[in-house]
Amino acid sequence: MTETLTALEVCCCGNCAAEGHEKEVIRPLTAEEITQREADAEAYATRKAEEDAAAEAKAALKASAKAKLIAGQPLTAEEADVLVL
Amino acid sequence: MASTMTLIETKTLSSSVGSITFSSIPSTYFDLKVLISARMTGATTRDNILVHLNSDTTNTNYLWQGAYWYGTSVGTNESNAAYKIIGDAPGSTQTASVFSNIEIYIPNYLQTNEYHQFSSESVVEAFNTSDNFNSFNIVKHIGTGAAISSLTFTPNATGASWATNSTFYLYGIKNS
Repeated sequence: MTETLTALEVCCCGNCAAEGHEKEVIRPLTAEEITQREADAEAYATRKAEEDAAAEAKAALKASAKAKLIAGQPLTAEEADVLVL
Repeated sequence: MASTMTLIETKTLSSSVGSITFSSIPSTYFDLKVLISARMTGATTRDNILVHLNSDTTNTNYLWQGAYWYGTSVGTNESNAAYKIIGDAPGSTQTASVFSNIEIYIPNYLQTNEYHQFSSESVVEAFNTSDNFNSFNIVKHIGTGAAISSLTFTPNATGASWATNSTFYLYGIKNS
């Protein structure tokens, strides 16, 4: 069963009773809010995948550069960049 | 230098909720401070906490920069959209009873002629090397130039809610 997502709104006015409104309101998220949340989560996942791929590529370049240095072989420009930039 | 810090509101959740909003924030202070002790219900070890000012969810109105440390890794990142991160919280697959600690400082929240920018520090002490996650975040809101009257905090994991016993504190700060 899928959980119904809710929003809790806590009023900080300090005068709720006198102004005739509830201090706390819990309501289901609107369709727009759910869409926004899904878009945020998707954007994060995409960005995270890009970051992870970039980190793995950089680590691979470093490992390759190290191996070539030890073996006395010439480095590619990309391999040199990860060592000096 | 601030000389008084007043607790405006505090809320400890007795049941899970998808987001929490402090609304109608009084305009009688200079700065705001938010403290959060939180855990989320999503099936993840950790995910981001997002902030929205004045119910503005337009991604391109937010800029974020962050530095983070987790496990043996360190990193920095930035984004001019989609990220509105003020910290992290453990999810349901993290060690039971682990809650994150986040401190947010929002200076000059009443100003209306400049962008709002603020910083936060976040710690997820997960009691194991690989899942500990600490970060320092700066968020800039480039919206309508209105005073901040509401703050909304949302767990980013898909379908996640704030877990029971998560606690949110809102303080007002002024120099008199």
